[in-house]
Parts: sequence; C-alpha cells; structure tokens
Amino acid sequence: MSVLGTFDLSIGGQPRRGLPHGSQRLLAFLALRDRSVTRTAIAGTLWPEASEEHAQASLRSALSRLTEVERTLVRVTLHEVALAADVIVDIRDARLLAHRLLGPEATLDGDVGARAIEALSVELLPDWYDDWAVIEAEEWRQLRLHALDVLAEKLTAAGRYADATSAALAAVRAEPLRETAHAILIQVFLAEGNRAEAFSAYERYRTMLKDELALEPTPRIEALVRNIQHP
Amino acid sequence: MPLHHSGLLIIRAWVEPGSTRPLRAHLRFSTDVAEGFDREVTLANVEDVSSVVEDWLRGILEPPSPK
Repeated sequence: MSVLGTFDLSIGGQPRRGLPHGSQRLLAFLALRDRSVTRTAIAGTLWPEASEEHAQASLRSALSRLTEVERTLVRVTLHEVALAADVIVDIRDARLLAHRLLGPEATLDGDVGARAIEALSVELLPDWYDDWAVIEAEEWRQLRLHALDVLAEKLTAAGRYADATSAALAAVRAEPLRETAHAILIQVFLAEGNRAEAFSAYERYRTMLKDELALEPTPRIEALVRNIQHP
Repeated sequence: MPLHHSGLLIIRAWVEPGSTRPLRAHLRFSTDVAEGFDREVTLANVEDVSSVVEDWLRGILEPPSPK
C-alpha cells in the first residue's frame, strides 16, 4: 500500500482500482498506525462531524465495501481494526529510514542512495484534506526535512557529492525559504570544490529571499560564501 | 450548493536566527477544502500573518462561489 504521493494499493502484484473513497480513507488511516485502533477512535477520527451512531455505520460500510480479497488486508475484531501484519506500507519503511538517519549512531548503509532520497522527497497524501491526514502529512514533512538535512550532511562527509546534492535539493524544494537547507546545499558544493555552483546556490537563495520577503540572508550563510564572492 | 463549507488554514512557523526579521511563517489555506488549497504564502511579520488569517476568516463567512 502506498500513501506517499497518491493512495495506491496492490494485492499480489495486481493494482486494485476503484476502491470506494471511504474504504481508501480507512485503509490509509490504518496504514499510518502501527497498531490496532478501536472502532470508536476510527469512526470519530474519519467521520468527525457525524454522530457516533452514523460514524460507526460509516465505518461498517467502509469495511463491508471491501472485496473478499481486500478484506485480507485488515484484521477486524468486535472492538478493534488493524492492518494485517503482512501488508507492506511505503510510509512505514520511509519513517524507519528517517528515524534511522536521525539516530545517534546512524551510518550510511548501502541502501541509502537515490531510492532513499526519493522516498524522503514525497509528500504524504498531498490532496487529502481530512484533519487527521493533514496532521499526519505535516508530521511527515517535518521528519523528512530533518532526515534530508542529515542525509545530505552524511553523504557529503562520505564524499558522495551527487547524492548529497540530490538530498539537499529535495530539502530545498520541500521548504524553499528555509535557510538551513540552502546552507547545506552550499556546503555540499564547497566540499566538492565547486565554488561556482556554491555561489550560484547562494545567489538563487538571496534573490528568492529578497523577492519574497524583502530580506537578506543571515550572517551565517553569508559567511559560507564570503571568500567566493567573485569566483 | 452545499449548506456549509469548511475552510482549512495550516501555519508552519519557524525562526531563522540571525535574520533581521527572524520569523518565517508558511501559510497554506483554503476557504473551501472541497476545492483543495487555493493559496500559499510565506511571511516574516507577525502583523502580516495576522492580516492573512483575518482575511481568510472573512472569506469563510462568504458564500461559496457557484460552480
């Protein structure tokens, strides 16, 4: 199941199309939890404006509209619902990766490359506006931004400049006016000895900051490029 | 036309230490979530953020535009 970008579901390698919206929301909600959730909590979260009775009925409807094959994705008891243990969810892997990168003893395993950067670059269900989805999306955004920062720094330290540049650019795209991301991008270019690109990155940030907020970069970022003002 | 509509406003704020105006507030909002987010902006003044929030609330009070 995928909730990064758009909602997608495949069972046994076969894409499942036409899942009712309520069932999609239920599966996505369960995908974002790593445990069983009470029916009351699910109903109250997914249908917050309905009465408890109607919300519970909507939950029963969402479950009943799953096909027999789709029902294998969930474990349903009298009081709780959970995603089946063998369901693979992209956000879970991506969160694990982010937490691993942010851990005190994080190392760059072989799998931390282009695919990891791609996973950390994708928003969570960006076109969903339910309260719970928006909150989850914001939490993921914060987590992935910090993970991308750390990843870019670690890749730079390892001399993997191309991947480091990709990670830093992904962080810049996610929050274009966040200075830390620009500072890291500049540091990647400086570390690989590419002073012209470092200065170009600084200039792009400075221009954007001036156009959008009528501000100048901070002394911290000015200090990075002080010696390459005229490369 | 629906009887009511729901607006949504997300403010993500952070501080850029060392800046002459260190506040950064990124606002993403819609006066009718059925239409998705219709605007986003980043601001650096508390007053500007307050003004946008007030305008957004006034927009919520207006009837939805006809489809």
